[in-house]
Formats: sequence, structure tokens, C-alpha cells
Amino acid sequence: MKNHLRIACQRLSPLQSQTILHIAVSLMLMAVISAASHFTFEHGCREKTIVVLFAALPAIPMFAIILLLGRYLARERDEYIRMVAVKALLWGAAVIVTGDMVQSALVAFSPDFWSLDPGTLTIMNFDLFFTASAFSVAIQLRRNR
Amino acid sequence: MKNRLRVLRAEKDWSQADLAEQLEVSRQSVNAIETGKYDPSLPLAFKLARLFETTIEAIFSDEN
Repeated sequence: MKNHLRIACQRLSPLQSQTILHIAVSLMLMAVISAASHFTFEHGCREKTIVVLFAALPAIPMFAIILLLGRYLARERDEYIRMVAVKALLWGAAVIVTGDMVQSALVAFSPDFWSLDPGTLTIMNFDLFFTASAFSVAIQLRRNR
Repeated sequence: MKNRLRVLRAEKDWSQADLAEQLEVSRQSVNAIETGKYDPSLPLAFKLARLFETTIEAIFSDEN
């Protein structure tokens, strides 16, 4: 498994490695912001400025991720790989939309599902999105060896 | 769309990786074009034609 991962990393172009690294940093930033907001609100801080700040801050890494994906697609010179990436991103989007629909259905049956922090849900959505996209890339490239 | 890419490549004794390097694309792209899973854009088709010193029509043909 470790060997497979090493080979996969070696096959990545500099643009792909750079994009993955920047997305990972953005996801970590999102997790840190979510943890910080959770910690602040847990300790009873409800100051308007702080609330607005923590409501707006998670948008920065989210927009960064969207811009990074757009920049990757614009700069990828291999048109077939670009097509694979677009298909993978669409699969990722389809999976999170389906996930959200399933979650909404579950909430209708049991309101306990709302106990999850919205910040955690956003990070989970992005994790699910990238996991589904990565699976899609792997499947598409495996079918075309 | 049908293509003669595999034949032309074999005539030059190039591997898929060799051709991919000359086209500045991935080996998977060459394989996808050869197997008909992906139809290249016009710029890539022209690049292929130039590389094999032939015309686009000599490489690609309509399946019908």
C-alpha cells in the first residue's frame, strides 16, 4: 500500500502535486478555523464581531479550494487528464449532493443528526468530495491502462 | 472515431511512453486515443499528424 502511494506520488506532475498540497493546507486551515470557532463558542463567547468573524472565516479556505481547482483545470496541459479531472470533480459533487440528501432524510427521522457542528459537516463534505474524486480518478485511469 | 495510431506508432517502433513524451501528454492519453476511448482536440490531432508526417485524415477516420 505504502509502495503504491509512493509510485502514485512520483507520477504526479509538479502542477498536480502543488495543487494537492495547497488543497491539503486549505483543508487544514478550515479544520483549524472550525476547531477555533467551536472552542470559542463552547466557552460562551457570543460577541457579535467574533460571531461574524467565525461565520466569515471558513469561506476563505472554501473559496481558496474552488480557485485552486479552477487554476489547476486552466493550467493542465494534458487534455485527457483534464477531462478525467472534470469527470472526477463531477463525481465528487454528485456524492456530496447525494450525501446531503441522505442526511436531510435522516434528520427527518431523527433530529439527533443535527447534533453535528456545521463546521465539522463542511469539512466532512470536502473530505467526502475529495475522496470520491480520488476514487473516480483511480477508476478512470485503471480502466485505461 | 477509428484511428491508425497504434499502427503508425509500431512502424516508428515507438512505445506509448515515447509518443506521449513527444506530444507532451501522459501515456494514458495516448492509450485512450489509441483505444478510441478519447477523441483528441484539433490541436493535438494536428500535432500527431505533424509528428507522423501525414494528414489528420490518414490517422483518423469516421467510423461510419
